[in-house]
Amino acid sequence: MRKLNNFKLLYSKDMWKRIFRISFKEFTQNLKNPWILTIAVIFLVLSVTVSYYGTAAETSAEWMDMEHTIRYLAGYVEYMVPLIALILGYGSIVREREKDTLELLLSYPMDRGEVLSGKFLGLWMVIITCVVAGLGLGGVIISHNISEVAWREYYLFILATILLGGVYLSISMMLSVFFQDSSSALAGSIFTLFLFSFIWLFSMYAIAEMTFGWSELELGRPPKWYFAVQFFNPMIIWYTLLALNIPAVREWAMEFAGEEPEFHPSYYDTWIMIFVLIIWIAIPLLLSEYKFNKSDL
Amino acid sequence: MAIIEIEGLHKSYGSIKALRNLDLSVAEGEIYGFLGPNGAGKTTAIKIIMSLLNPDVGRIRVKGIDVTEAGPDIRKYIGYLPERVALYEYMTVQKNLEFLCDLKGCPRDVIPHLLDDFKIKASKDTKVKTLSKGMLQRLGLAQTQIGDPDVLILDEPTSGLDPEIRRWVKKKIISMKKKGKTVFLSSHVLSEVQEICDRVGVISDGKLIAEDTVKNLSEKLHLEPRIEISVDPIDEALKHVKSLKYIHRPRIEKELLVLYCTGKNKARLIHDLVDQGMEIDDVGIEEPDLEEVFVKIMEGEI
Repeated sequence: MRKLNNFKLLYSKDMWKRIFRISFKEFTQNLKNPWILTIAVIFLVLSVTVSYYGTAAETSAEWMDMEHTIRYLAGYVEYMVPLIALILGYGSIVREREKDTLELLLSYPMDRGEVLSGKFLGLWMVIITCVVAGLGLGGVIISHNISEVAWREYYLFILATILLGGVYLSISMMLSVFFQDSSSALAGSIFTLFLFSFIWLFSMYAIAEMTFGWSELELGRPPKWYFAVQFFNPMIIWYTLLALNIPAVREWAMEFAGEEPEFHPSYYDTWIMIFVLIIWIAIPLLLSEYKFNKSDL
Repeated sequence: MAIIEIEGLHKSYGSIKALRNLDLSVAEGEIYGFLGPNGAGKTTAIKIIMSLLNPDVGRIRVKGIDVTEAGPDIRKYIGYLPERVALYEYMTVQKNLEFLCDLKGCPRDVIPHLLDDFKIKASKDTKVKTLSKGMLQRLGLAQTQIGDPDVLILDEPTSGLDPEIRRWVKKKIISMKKKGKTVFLSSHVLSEVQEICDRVGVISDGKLIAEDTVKNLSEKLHLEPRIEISVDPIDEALKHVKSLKYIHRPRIEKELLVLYCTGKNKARLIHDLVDQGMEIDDVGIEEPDLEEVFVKIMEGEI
């Protein structure tokens, strides 16, 4: 009976109206946050300055091509986008629970999944706006100063970054559902950032040393399972997606991590990477809904 | 006809049993007072009705529809005022009402009427975080009217309010009943419950221990009205009433003869005093109040 009701709800016009209403509220409320505007401006300034001054240490300052701009920008974006996603998401449920607004919200005719979906869409739109406005405008400025514009690569970089933001947002919302107070949710979010950015890499190096040997990793010839394990880190998926499509990023990945494309398994493919990032968005959201439906207010 | 029915409701928080086989029913169009000491399980029961808590066992039906099976749509028929009214602080009164109207799928043209009716029109552009407790409560009550629900569930609606606002809230609840709404009201202010509720249910330790009108509960508990008589000579009168078997606790307080007797013996007492040659100037009768009923029930006398 319950399942049938949920199935019917998928087609409910009212349900989508409520989801969009909540997402609109989240979007407009968070867009007013000065940090969001600041980060959009930082993206813009970064993309332009990286493109112009990126090679200053090697030669004189001049505009870099788009691919190399992406390579340098990726180093900043990998921290900034997860950070804004975690900041936006960690309090989304737990803060409303602490302030008792969640109790009132759920006394209205809506499913808890609708609240989660509405919040996720609204907050993701904030990230999308920030990324598209900052990096997009930066791209336009760069394109006016270079002869050959690699728009496809730049679009893919923006798309991958938007998906990365969605992944971290989804994880932080899950933490917001699972933790009972906002300080624990914040601590969990910070740990997530450290886990995927630093702890993971050190753990992988340690595992490599203990199993197949460090030299194999340096030569870019780790065993096949090593590649499969990387799917458990969305940050690596994001980098791989960029490396598969943008030669400058691939070169850098080869220098940094010794990744040789010829040793990549066949499933290291653009669409699979995009699909895995989408799965990374979906799973924490589904877990959040399951837990949220079970929890008492 | 019962509009809210609760059957065999159980809820535990770990080893603590918050509700133990709670049964109650609220008739359509009545104001039902839900009473109990702190921690008795009132808010838990209300939150289960609102699907904010999941029951361990038990059934709740609102308008004949099972709340646990119906999903969120059932809440279209319910207006809810939580114990701690919390609206979006960074949004204005108007924006909060617009948002809530949209969630309930109710046209926004009801908002001017609500602003007028609940006397919050002057604050419509004020952010909720700057509202006084009284204004916030008015807004909280106003939002319960969105969608014109048949059932109103009000958790401690007068808690922490000054007497003027409390009076206003009380009037508002009575006017809601006049419009045909059913009001399920949890409160600690017994005098108010007595004044506005048609029936009361008393919950203790997660169980409903009494349910009836205040008058019927008084009778069940054999509570007698307090009678104050201005009589002359008062000492003679006291001596006489002490000899009457149907009179209880006679004494003199502030030059008045104070005693307790059942309603049907009141006239008999006056006759007795007059027959004894006493001169009666005035008679005052105070019916037993809910506080007395509540105390007796909590002492286990029912």
